[in-house]
Amino acid sequence: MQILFINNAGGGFADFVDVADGLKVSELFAEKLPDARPDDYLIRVNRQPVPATYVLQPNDRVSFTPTKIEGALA
Amino acid sequence: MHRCPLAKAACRLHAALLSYRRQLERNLTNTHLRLDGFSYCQRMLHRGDLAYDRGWLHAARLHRQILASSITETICQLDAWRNHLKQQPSALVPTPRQLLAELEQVTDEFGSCGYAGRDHELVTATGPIELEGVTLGPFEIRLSLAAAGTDWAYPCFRVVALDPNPACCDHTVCHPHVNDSQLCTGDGTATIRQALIDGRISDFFLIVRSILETYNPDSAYVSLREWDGSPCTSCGEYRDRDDLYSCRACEDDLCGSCVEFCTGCEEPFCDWHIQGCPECGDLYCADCRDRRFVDGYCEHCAPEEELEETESGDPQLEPSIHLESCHVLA
Repeated sequence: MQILFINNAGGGFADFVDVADGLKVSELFAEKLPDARPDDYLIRVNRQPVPATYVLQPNDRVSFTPTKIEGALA
Repeated sequence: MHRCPLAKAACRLHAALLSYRRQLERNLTNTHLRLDGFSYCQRMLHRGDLAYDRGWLHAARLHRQILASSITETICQLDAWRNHLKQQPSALVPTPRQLLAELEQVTDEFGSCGYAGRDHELVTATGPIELEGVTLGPFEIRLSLAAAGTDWAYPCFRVVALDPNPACCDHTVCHPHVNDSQLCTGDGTATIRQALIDGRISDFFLIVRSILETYNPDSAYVSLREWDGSPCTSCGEYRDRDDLYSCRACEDDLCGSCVEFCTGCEEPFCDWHIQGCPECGDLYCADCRDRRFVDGYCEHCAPEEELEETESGDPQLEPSIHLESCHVLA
């Protein structure tokens, strides 16, 4: 099935991706950001916070946004 | 769509994003029209082949040279086209309803989202921010919608301290990464830009908040360690760094109340590295005492006989001053 995946870590792209039926949002996170901790991200599905066990549905809008991003001296 | 400020903002934003997207498409079309160098290369290649077939070697060589130049120019044109394609937003322009959903998400995440119509700004605010024990207060994030139609040219947003606790040494810095309401986005720069181009306004505000809630000690306008100034080594009071002196001997920081100045060289010193003449009390550093003191007294207070002995080197004169009161450095 297809979902809209928004990765706000790094370059920050938004695109439709194919995922397996029945995939949980925690499993998607582990797959897309294998070296990251969920605690360090705002995880939203269809603009709402969801539990880690939420099972993704077709055309869901999923976003991962880091809670810590370093600014810098201009 | 119901008429409320956010709905108006969503419609205005939609119009601006659409305008910018059309501009991008026009730029791409213009690049395509200028890509006639490729067909020119093909013509030069064909003519060069014809010249070789007919034995016109000079003409063939000339066409090969022209072909080489044309290929270089065509590569430049292709590069420009590729760069235009890279700038294409990754998603379609959101509809006004989708943009309204974005703004409603901002309200959910931050507790508020307003549209300042006069300034054409979307406004929300973070909660109180504290970094490494320094309270910085809440910050307002103001995104200019006027920038939406101009490629979100920097600076398109401002960060305003609502309960400022500015750095001791620079009152324009209310956050380690904000100077005069401009946030230096650092690692979030590309992500912010992509979010704005795509119309993902809620992501923009969330990313800015993440930057405000993160301290990068390696790249701050003012480090948090020096936010409240630096302490005087002698009395412990915090002062702006510009108001502190540095002892020339040990480099300790000293406030104006604790620093002492050498009468001889007029340099600043701490209590440990300066000593007074027991007669007049004038303070001298070690180097100046070596040069100016005689038997523990400054040149102005030393007895004349001592001064003469010093000048003549005559060993027969007896010391006329009792030296018990002289201080001895550790």
